[in-house]
Amino acid sequence: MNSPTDDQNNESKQGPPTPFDSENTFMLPDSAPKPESSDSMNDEKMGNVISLLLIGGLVCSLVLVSVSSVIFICQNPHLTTSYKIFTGEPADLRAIDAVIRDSFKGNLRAIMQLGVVVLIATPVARVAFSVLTFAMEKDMKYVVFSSLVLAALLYSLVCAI
Amino acid sequence: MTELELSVILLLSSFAIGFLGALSGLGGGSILTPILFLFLGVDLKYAMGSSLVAAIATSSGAAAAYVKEGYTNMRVGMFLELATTFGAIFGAYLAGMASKSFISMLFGLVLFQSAWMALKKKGGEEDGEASSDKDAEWLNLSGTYPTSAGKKAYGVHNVRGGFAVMLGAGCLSGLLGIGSGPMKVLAMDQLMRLPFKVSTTTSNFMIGVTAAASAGVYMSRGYIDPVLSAPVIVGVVGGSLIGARVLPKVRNDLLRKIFAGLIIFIGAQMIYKGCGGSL
Repeated sequence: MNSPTDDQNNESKQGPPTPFDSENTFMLPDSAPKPESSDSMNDEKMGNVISLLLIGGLVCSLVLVSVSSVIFICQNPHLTTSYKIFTGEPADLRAIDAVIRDSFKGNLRAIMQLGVVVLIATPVARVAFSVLTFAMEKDMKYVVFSSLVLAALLYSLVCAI
Repeated sequence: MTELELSVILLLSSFAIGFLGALSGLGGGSILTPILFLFLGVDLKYAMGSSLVAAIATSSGAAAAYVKEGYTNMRVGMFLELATTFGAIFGAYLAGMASKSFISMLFGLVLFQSAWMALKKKGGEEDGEASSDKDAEWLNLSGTYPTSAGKKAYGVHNVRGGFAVMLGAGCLSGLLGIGSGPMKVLAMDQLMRLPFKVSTTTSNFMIGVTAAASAGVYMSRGYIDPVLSAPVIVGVVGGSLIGARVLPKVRNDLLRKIFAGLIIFIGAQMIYKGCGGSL
């Protein structure tokens, strides 16, 4: 997508347009940053998409968690569980693959836990998206920072699979 | 107590936690741990698991609004996330080895220290320079944020000091199951001299990632219970969305008092419990 001509195109925007230039500008109206305000404009756009991404993750998590827990409580209205002594969750609720498998079988605790997993995955998705956006902005310092954060997060989550 | 009663209590308290967490940048985990542990008699490990979930929910709920409104400094957040994430992974491994009373004590002391630092800083913080120092310039960290008088530019300072504190903050986060909001807010507010609302909202933004870094380890150890977590998520998200709507109207000195008051209250309880547990 980003051929070397894009850069030339941006830098020589004020110069006399060649047919090649104008064609590229026409094709990529959004990705051609205006020199004077490219940073704040891109950051603003990035903020809007990140905001949408966070909301999307939250909505998925909320739907999974609230539907399954309402059904769970209706089915077990008098259930009492003691959390006074730590016994640890059963193995099926500790690993992401088991949580997904049991969710498809209709296990309500697993579906609740799937909602928790989606919630945990949301900030990870946000960092992954940041890597992409910074790469598109050719902001290499922040590509490195966000890639390292992403790598650390994925390493941490792999422990749970 | 039945699951239903417990869920309702958790839902209501989580709503308040999400609200206060969105305002104070504390993430809410540091408020939920003592509620579960001290008032509901839940084992500290389950409490830590649920608090981690609360921290992520507060972060996503509040950040969705703050990022869009332009409070959050995403570059500062992403740069410092580097420190908190690696710190958090290290801290989470320590959590299995440290004793409950030791963690409680440590938690309380951290909070006392944080409150003292927050109250020590007196007014006039909104007149910060708009220029950044060299490191911050290199990292392109300067930003603007909305005030009642329109967008205002601010500079960022002492990036190295902030980064070092964030390594420690991340480690505590993994150790204690909180998003380590107090230290994040303080490092940005006091060391890096960001405006207070930018500090709290950027802290909110980062907390989700720091907490997610510990979540894998917590989950594989069985700390995260779905029945405890479900009402927490619903309540916290609701509260944080309302909190994010209120923040633009709240004055800074009031925010500072809320921030300091919360952490003194919690710190005292945790130190008490830490002492009791070891006697």
